[in-house]
Amino acid sequence: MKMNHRQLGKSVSKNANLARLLVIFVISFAAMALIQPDIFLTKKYIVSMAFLFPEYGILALAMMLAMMSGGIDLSIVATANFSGIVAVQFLLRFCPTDASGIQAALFLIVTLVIAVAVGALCGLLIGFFVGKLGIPPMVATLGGADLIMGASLIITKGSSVNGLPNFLSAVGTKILFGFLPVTVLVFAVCAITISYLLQRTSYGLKLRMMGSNPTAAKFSGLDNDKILMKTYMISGMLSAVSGLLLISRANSGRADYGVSYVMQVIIICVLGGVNPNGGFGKVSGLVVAILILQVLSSGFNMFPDLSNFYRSIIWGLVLVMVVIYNHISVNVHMKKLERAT
Amino acid sequence: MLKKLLKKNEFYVSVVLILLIIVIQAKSGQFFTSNSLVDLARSCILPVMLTLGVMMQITARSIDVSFPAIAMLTMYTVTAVSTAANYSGPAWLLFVIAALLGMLLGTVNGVLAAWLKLPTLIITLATSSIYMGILQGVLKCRVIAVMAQPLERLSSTYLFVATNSQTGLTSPLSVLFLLMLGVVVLVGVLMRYTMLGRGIYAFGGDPVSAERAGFNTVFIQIFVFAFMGALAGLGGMTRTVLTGSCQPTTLNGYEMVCIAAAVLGGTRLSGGVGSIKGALLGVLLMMTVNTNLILLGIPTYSAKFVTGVLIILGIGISSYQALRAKKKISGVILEEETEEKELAVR
Amino acid sequence: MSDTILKVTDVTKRFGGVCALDNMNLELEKGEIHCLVGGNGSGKSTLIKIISGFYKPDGGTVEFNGVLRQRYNTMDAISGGVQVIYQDMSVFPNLTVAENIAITINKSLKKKFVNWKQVDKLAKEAFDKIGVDLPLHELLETLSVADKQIVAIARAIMNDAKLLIMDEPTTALTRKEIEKLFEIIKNLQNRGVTILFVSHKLDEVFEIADRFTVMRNGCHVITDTTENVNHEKMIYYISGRKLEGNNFLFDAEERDTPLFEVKDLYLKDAFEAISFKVMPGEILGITGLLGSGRTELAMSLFGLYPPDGGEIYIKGKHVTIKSPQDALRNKIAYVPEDRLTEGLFLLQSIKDNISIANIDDMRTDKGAIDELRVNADAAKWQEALSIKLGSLDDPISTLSGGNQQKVVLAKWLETAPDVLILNGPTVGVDIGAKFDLHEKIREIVKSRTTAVVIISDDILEVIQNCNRILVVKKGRITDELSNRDLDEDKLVSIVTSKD
Repeated sequence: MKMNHRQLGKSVSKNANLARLLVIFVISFAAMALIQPDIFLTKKYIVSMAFLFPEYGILALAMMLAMMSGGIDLSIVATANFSGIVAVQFLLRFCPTDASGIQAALFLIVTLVIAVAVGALCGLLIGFFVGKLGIPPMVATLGGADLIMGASLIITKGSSVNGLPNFLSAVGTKILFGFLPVTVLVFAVCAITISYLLQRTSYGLKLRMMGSNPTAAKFSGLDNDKILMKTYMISGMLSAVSGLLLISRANSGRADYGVSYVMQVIIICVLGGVNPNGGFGKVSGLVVAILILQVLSSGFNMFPDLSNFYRSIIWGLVLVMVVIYNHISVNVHMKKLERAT
Repeated sequence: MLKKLLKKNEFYVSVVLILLIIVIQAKSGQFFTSNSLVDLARSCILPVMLTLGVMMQITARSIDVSFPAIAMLTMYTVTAVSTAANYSGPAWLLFVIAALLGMLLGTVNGVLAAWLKLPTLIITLATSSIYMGILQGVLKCRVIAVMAQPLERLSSTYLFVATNSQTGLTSPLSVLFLLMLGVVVLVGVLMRYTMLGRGIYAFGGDPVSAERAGFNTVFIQIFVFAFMGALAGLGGMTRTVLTGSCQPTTLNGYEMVCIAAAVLGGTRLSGGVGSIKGALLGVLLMMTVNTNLILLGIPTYSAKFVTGVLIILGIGISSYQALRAKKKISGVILEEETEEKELAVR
Repeated sequence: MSDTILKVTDVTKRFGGVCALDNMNLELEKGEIHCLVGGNGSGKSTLIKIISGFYKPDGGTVEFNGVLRQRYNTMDAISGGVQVIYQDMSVFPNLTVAENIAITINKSLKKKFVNWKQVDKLAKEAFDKIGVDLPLHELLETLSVADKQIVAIARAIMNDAKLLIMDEPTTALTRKEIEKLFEIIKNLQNRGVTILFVSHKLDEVFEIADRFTVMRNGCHVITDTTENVNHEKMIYYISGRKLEGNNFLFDAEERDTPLFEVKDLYLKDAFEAISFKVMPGEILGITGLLGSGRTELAMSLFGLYPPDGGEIYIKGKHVTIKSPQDALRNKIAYVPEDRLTEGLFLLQSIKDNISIANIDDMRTDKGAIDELRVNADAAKWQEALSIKLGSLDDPISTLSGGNQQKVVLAKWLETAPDVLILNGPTVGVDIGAKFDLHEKIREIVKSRTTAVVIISDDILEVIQNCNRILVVKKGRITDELSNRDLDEDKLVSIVTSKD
């Protein structure tokens, strides 16, 4: 009897955050559906919701990795834009505007590879600042963001990059099988990859442990610098993918797209159960948090007279409430465990 | 003595600053002209006020990224209301109101941080979002080009106007420069000569010990946020007066500028260490770069890149030094201590 | 008859189901230096916190200076003249020496403004009172631990301490610094201050205390003058057990290849000319005072401070250790001194804590973590080391000190090391777990495939568990002894002698 109770208690508390988030998601969705069922429940509307979240969803994955390592990455948007801008330079020079079919596919692959490589390099640079130079992550990514965005500004001279091949924006708007936007597929691939990385690989364990206690990690033979560089590199690569999505949707490249995403993404991470002190975070929680925000966000679009800016207020309030709730529930959970042993 | 000097962050910042000035003067010969110096002074008014607040925050182990939002919200509210009401009273009263409003908003941050012990970066991100939402959503802010009379008048009140004899360019120095000086003196006295200020340092150095020593740590935490809010209120109004109109999104991203300046100036992110001298140097360095881009021959769109390099270099050096120091072995006694190092026991 | 300054009568204190103090009695005479002795979990810290007003006793009374205490709070105790210097010293590293001394005084005087001349004056006065001199305007963080302690004492004295309680003050001090501290304490005694000194280092108790009190399991065991006991009796009082004659005795075969050999190892500013062998079946002990270089040697062997010169051989093969990754790859394991910050990931699960060092070897062919193996191995160690836990998925923070240390050991045993270095393996561990750990260590060497080195300043632990003992002083090995016919007094005198 006691064993079952303990096992049940354990699995509930472990997934408590996820369960709570799912409840919030269901409530939000239901609320929106009830308020305006004829708009909200249409296939068109649901699909339109799905277009937007992958951009910041992938950025959220990037931020989550940085947070789990005990830091934060304020340079993800800068890296996203920069990688995209550099990659499309290649397209501008070599790809005809009307390319299609196999040719387009090949160019797309090369562009992706270039973007991801640039993103990885940006990430490695940041990882170097944090690991080898010992600059605190907040400052390193702040300065790094200025560096990287500055580099974008130098290339674009402050204006947008236009004249991109048609297929690029097609990627951003293409819908497969009538309901699945390509962007969502991209996000799903990223999410599954990162989830696997965190839960099932030794890198994932090392990241979590180092994020929890870097000193003990060092004393356990872990190479902290290597883990940090790897983490920020992956973060940069994810940012690059998001950058391509951004460019694809806007059909042009700019140094300052998505600047407001940084805050949104931090909110998503905290909401999704990522511990800002490091060591803890689950992709599942993150995904639900993203969905919640997207539902709420799109919900607001149903009311055209309600300003977009109310969104910020709601998110701010939600964040505060979530942090408070997390704080309280962690304390309660730990006290329960201590009493049991 | 030299060794001690080399360890101080302020030393490096000063060196970079001096080098920078030499380069600017060499390239353009225009650095020491009266109007360019006045431009520099003018550009420092706002960041100095805000960075001092940030310095106090970071010293007390808090980060506040919501102060630009507080600044913009209070600035817009006060300007809009006073313009709509055809306000004709003294301009300084509007500043006071803005400061009080800012203090209120800052106190919200402080209470959340102190009583609920929530991480300050996250809290202030949230409140920043809320305040901007109120500003842009609820108040439906817009640009106010013509403001209430007292503010318009203040916009054109100068301490003096510097004229460049060569180029004929003129640069006015707003009377608000005095406000900035006043803030510098206030913060200086507060941090150095009051127990409250020492309490901020004590709390930043070791919160538990500060509590044990009898400091009201909850009050200290709330105070730094409230004070930052008040400074933000003043800052917002200052921005409006200096630019001559009220643009509600004018301070977006400004928190990064101030945090960078504070950190460049030696404020330690781990808390307990932060000096006014350092903060001023940090602001001076960043503003010197910003205002002299043309003279340096750097196109404006490269400014961000240069700022990034500055931050990384400035902090990178001291971070790396600290890293190296930690790795040194210090605990082993290999020889009997020399006369100098021995304690004199009487 | 000297007056009694403190009288603790039949004090009991419970936390949840645990009884920390059980009818504890303590009487201190004015102007005496009294030592409170006891092992971990004996209730020393709880008693201190009751005397300082931090805790209220569940039963019993506390009388200070003839006045029966009615209320329990720290401010009252402080104004009564009770000052506690905890191990962390409650000093501000970012403030100057002078300000550290003056700040609590000015705060209690409810001052609003700071007069820097007055601050300097207060600091000078404080130093005069204890007979020391330190630079007033140095930042505290630049000072050594010993100097920080002096500042803490100076501050306590300026706050008009009548009873000064010091909690394990010599933990981080070198021999010379300890002597200076004792001089200061004697100085204070001459000024009429009573000192209550908590320590577990017996030689210090004998050196400085007039009288001592031994506590065990929250109870009073004995109070006596230090002249009436010796080491052996003291250990008996503290642990309740006689030193059993089951010392680990072993004679190595000289013809065997050493499992672990070090030749002329050298690290700048730490140690030099370090050479030793560990033969199959042996447990080597390395001991020395703080600052002797013994911890640096341990860390160097693990690659945390890679040696600048010398050679290391494992099972006859020469290896180069430049980082902890090298050490791990060469199957060197290191159980660190401070398990909370160096050995454990407190909020992570027990299972993850056990598998982290060896995780790269615990993967399936496809590269993912082999969950089955992780679970099986963790369960195996739980049983082998008798680790008391709820579930392997629980966070480490739910375990007691002894069980936590067992997890750290399990982590390293999981890597099947060729060399196992343990630094202070039973610090802060209860008697039962201590016994388990020592048993397990002796078992490991039976297989004759793992070299075990125990580095410790616990003389008893070293004598009981190491057949051969090296003494380190000032970065060099000064003595090599067998534990046959060696007793604590003899070893202590060798370790502390000044040659």
